[in-house]
Amino acid sequence: MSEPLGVSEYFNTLRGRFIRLLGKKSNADIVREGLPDIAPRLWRYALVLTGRRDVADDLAQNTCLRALEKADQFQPGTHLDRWMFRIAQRIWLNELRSQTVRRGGGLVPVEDAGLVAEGMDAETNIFVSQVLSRMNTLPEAQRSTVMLVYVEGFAYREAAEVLDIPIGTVMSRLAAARATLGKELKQDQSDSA
Amino acid sequence: MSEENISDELLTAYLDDEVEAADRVRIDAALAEDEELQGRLALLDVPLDPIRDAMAQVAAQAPAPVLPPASAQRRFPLAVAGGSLAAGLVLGALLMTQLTPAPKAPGWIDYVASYQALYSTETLAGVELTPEIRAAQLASVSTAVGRPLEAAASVPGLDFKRAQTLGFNGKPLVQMAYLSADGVPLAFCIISKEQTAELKQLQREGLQAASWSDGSHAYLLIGGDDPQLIETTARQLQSLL
Repeated sequence: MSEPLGVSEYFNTLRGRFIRLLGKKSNADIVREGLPDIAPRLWRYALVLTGRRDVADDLAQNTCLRALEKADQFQPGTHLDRWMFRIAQRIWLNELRSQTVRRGGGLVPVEDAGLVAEGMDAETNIFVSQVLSRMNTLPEAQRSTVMLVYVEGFAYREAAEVLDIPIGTVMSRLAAARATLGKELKQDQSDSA
Repeated sequence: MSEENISDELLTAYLDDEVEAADRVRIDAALAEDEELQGRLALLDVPLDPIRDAMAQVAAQAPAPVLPPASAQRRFPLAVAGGSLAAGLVLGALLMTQLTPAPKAPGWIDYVASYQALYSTETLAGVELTPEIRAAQLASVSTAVGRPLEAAASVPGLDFKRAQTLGFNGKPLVQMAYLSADGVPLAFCIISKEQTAELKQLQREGLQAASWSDGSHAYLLIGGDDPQLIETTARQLQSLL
């Protein structure tokens, strides 16, 4: 989906073209160079968010392409990873999520998501599956917030910007996620005791 | 103190080191004397390292994004903005916005080349398939592209590593990955295409490549910088298939 450009975005686009004109490193170069490190993080975020490997592949791929297309709007000196997570979040909400829901299936069990990988030993596979299944018990909004803050290490304010929500909402999603995970952990411990 | 009602949200921010100094002092004081609050904090204080560890493993499985070649995003010569700097820049801006030539749409070979350019020896060095998984992968890619590909996994002198189905414009695109004896990552890609063309050698993204097609499928072998290796291997693949 290409939204009409705002005035500031328009000037950013112009600026990007000048920088290219003067032979400096263009925004497109910056994005392209940063992509290989960020892409695996985007994919795992997409996997936890969408709960499906095929949709995660699409979301991560589309995000990378969109970032290259819109590279002129990236402000050099700001964080490329946050900018790309924002793009991923928007593509998911505006484009892919409704299709995924229509296609049916929704979250699939980890084993069915094709996540059990040939590169890992059995023990690691089991461990990873358990953690992913546990994450899947959380509602989508909590999963994305947990990923951004606890896995990606974003501050509350940064996660709030990526998700386009108030900081208070970040806090309440994390509190709810911790409470659910804490109860499950307690249950496990009393089961195995 | 304890009746001040410290919410789970505030306790979470406390655990995450996201509270103001004044709140921290207040919570510390309340925790010192309120057992119920201690219990709530303990419940919320779930270990996060296992999640991070698992996610590190998950990231290692991420497929590489398929990017359009860098040449599709063109550079412009410095000389365009001549004359008075301000006028030149303004004029240049208008020209650039209006007249930027549309880059030639990159084809599947360009996409494969960009993807392959990200491969290093290490990408494939750790991949060791069990015979069952190897057979399953080969069966799956053969079905995807509609022709048997098992023979392509046994090229003399090449260590076959894995086969996967990617997509290009909604069509399945099979990628078979190998390491040469010298550790050069090579990819053999197959896409269905009604076209017939002799084997020809080419270069993309600094990589050597060879392409040909047989009326139903188009083939591309790409990787490394040795035209001899590509030619020999491409001929072998042609005869194996």
